[in-house]
Amino acid sequence: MAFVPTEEEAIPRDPAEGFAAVLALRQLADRLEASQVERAVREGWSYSEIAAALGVSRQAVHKKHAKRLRALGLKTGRGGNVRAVQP
Amino acid sequence: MFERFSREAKQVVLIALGAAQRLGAEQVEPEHLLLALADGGTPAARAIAEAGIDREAITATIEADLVAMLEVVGVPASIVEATPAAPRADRPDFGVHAKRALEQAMREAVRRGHRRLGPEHVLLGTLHAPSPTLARVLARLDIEPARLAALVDVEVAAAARG
Repeated sequence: MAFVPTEEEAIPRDPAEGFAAVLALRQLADRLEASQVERAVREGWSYSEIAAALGVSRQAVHKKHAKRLRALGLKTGRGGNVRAVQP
Repeated sequence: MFERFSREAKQVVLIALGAAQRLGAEQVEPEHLLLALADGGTPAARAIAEAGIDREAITATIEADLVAMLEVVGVPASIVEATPAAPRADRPDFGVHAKRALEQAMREAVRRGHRRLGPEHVLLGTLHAPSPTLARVLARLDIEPARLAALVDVEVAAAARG
């Protein structure tokens, strides 16, 4: 079974530890974004669709990820892949 | 700011930029400077080797620290491992801590009456007042910043003797 911390365990009491966790979470968010953009492109998502899902401009996604995706030999799709996440 | 930097010191700054970029970092941080300083056979690199660490150990420890800090807020290590760093496309900026380290490097050179700023000064500047992250990384590597700084001066003196 997955480890699920209680609220008590998951909220640092020491601000130094709390801020370190904030920085770490930002890094994890960046990594998760990179891996999900890569997956989306492999599944045929367009930059516009990815941008819409992330709530940023198409240019912002392009600037941040295009070079890496090209280096991986990936091309973005024409779109038509967006679907709502089922709650 | 870089006009007094030696060729090797400029190289260190460029390698640190590359390391930050490769690790997908938002900014260049002191730990990237440390990584860059570990290579190249300079007195700074020899001091780092003398302290018992190398590039691989530093890289692994930066990652271990990230995993540990995420565990603090309940993110399991398996999630972090399944989400490896992706290189970023654009050039990261220098973060405040890395900027401060380079400014301190200049002071370390001036204080020693050295005209050129070399990698040894960059290492001393980085160790002077370590950022919280670098302090934790060094502690995990079992390295006392002051002890490593002392090793730098030993290596510089040895290099001067030839």
